[in-house]
Amino acid sequence: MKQGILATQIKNSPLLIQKRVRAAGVKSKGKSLLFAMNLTTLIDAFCILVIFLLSNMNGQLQNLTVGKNTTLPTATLTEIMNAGVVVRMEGNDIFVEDKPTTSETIVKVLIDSKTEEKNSLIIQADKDADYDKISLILRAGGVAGFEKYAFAVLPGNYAINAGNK
Amino acid sequence: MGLASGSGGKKDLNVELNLLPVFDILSVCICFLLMTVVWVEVRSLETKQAIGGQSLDETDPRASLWVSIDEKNNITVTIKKPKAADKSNTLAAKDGQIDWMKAKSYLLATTSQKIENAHVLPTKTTKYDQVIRLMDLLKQNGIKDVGLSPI
Repeated sequence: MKQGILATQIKNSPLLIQKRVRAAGVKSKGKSLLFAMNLTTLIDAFCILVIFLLSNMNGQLQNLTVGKNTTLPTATLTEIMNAGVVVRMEGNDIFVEDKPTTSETIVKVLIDSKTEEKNSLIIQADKDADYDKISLILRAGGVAGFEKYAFAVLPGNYAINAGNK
Repeated sequence: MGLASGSGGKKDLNVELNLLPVFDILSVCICFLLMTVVWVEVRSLETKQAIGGQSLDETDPRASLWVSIDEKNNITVTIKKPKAADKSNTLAAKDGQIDWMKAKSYLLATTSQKIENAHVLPTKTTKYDQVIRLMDLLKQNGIKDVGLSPI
């Protein structure tokens, strides 16, 4: 078998034919400067990366935008953030789904925002906020008919004896 | 796509796939996904409203733990059992903050009594961070349902 399939393939490979320096067929004593790269492994790696990034993206069901002046509290036993109505507190300002609201109108806004899919209330506040502000949202959520509350936290650990902080 | 033609007029069965478009698409996909990925994932600590959400008939008769924080960050832990007197203990604050060491060891001893639900009762001035940390501590000690009471 003088002209095997693979031998023909190598001979007529487009990369070898198209190269300008020492094109295929031209006999030369020197080593060719061009070589055909096997991209299959690279594509495999890329595919794995894409799958990993896509799966990582699906895990984040609810995206939150944390304000510049807001530092979320830290907790150890946390869960994945599920979809819900987001109430954000920045200083004395309250935002429901990024829309500014007041303590007088929050109940109405929460009732309007509540859907079958979004039946939990996600509370996002600074770690140094006083509880009376959080309580206001809790009460408003209760009046609006929310039963589940989720506090936005950062996953992490704290030293139990680290200056009580 | 380059077709390698063999010798003679016969059509070769081998086809050389041009993988460069696939490579391009994958590169764009990776760039897009890397740009949109959320590096610091915000997670949640779930709870339910402890008081006011249900009627007296619906109130769970199981043993429960009531943890109240006063304005000086002293903690009062009360164990409420259906057919027994309430048992209460106060853990004094340390340097104006909750004494986490004492709270952890006390809650560890308390939760060994098969208590599955707890209620946290903070005051107006209690910091949000302290409330979250206390709830987290209760969950760490095996309490499944941690409720939070509004003021």
